[in-house]
Amino acid sequence: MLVMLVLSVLALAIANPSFRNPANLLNIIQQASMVGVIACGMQLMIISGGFDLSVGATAAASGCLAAYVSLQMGIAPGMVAGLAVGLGVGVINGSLIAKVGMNPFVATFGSQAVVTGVLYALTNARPIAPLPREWRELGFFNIGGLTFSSMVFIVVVVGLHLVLRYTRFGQHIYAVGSNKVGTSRAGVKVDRVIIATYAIGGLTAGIAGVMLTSITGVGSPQAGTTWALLSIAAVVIGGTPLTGGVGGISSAVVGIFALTVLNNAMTLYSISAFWQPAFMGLGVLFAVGYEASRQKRKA
Amino acid sequence: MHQVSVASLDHSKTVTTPILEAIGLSKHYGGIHALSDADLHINPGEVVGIMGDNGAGKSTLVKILSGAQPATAGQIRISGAPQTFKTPTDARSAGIETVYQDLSLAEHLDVLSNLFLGREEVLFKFGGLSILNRRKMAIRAKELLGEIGVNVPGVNDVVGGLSGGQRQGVAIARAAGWGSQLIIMDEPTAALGLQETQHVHDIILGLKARGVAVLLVSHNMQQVLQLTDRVYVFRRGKIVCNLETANSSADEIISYITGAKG
Repeated sequence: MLVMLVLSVLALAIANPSFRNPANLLNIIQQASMVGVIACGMQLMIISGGFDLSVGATAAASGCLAAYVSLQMGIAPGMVAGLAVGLGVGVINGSLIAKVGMNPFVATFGSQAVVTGVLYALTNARPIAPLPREWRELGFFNIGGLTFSSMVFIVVVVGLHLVLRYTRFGQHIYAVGSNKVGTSRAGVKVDRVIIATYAIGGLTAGIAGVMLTSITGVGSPQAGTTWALLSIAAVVIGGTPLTGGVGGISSAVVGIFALTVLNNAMTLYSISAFWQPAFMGLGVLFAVGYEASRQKRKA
Repeated sequence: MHQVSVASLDHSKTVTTPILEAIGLSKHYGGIHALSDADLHINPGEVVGIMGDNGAGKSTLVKILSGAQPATAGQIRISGAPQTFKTPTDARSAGIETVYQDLSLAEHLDVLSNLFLGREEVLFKFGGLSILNRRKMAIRAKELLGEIGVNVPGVNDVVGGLSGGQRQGVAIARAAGWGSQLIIMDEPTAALGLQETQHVHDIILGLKARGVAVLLVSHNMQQVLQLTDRVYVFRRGKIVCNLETANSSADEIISYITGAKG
């Protein structure tokens, strides 16, 4: 999949001058950053043998709470509150799955609905604005065109990559996804691994929510409805099966850039916004179908 | 009556303290008595067979001794000291390792990671995160596999790509690698071919030579006759006999299993 991504980026760069414009390339990183951060968290949850459907709702809630708190107390406490919501929902998801024994689909589908419902009720589903100026300043802050949210994305990618590759916790995420019972018999506290994994997943959703508020300057209750499925799609497109035990952060990164580049190219070639989801869907089917048929031939 | 008959058979010649002693172990699931009043012991370096039909209580015994399930009643003593196993970790810290019939390996992980799963060597701690010392683990893994006599292509190979015999070897090496005094093996060769089975037999005899006791749960009569010093036969949740293998025969064991005797 990485090869396909590189080839399409090269082809687009040769064929289209606007695509290879550095500003556009930085723009792609910026566009990829929010769902990209979530996809990195999703990657961990998928390696552990689960996934999280609540990340979009959690991101919206985090962004809104961050906005609300920033009106009362300033932007820094707002950010902390936003991240805490993400972490909290993640811990609840992880506990429902590990301690109560619910399956990840039901647990996170339920928490998604609860979070969305509470958020709509408290905000009347209306955006929280106007916000302190600092939000937009943060959103526009950049070093050589690399925006704040792009930098956060890079930090999350590198950080979670190191966790997966070099730490005992990372090792245990793979082991739990590969053989939960066997890993528990080997003396690993499986429940803790699962809860910590979903906590990190929730935290990445919280980070994305805060990023969204900084980019738009508004707390949006209705944001993020497609993010859970998009981030799962990114991980799968990047070559990680949903069965657990395998994969790396590179999958999430390759997948999210594949989706973003496709999106960017459709915009550059002025493909109607109504047609874009269809092409996006075809892209997903093609990428995942290619991977699936390759696995089938290998087996 | 049953108690007395078992005790009378139990004439150990040595006076060494057994590695493991189980006294009156019972397990009831509601009204079902999966295991009733089981007494058994295993001496250091002894290979002891457990035979019996399906549902005779063998698996229940394994679950209790490995710490997977608590007994309803009875006592376990390790080297004379009473122990309570609430989790597999308790059993392991008392020196009992278990090689499960399903092997309990993480198929997607490499040999090294499986050998050290739950007992990883750590380079240093960074915040709450422990950084793995893979180099140290790789050196120890190679030593360990060599000591036990397990041949795998490399310690960085994924377990899912190994043969059945190699996987069994990894699972046994994992159990044997921690100074354990007793290894419980649940049907270690049920899924293996002839040559691989022979190899596992060699590994078991090698462990015995190193003074490690093995509790071998098996349906394979030839294997039990060939490897064990003693055999306990289970029937309907009870131990019906404790035989010295050298003074017994397949016919006698079978007659206890089927109920023609005992």
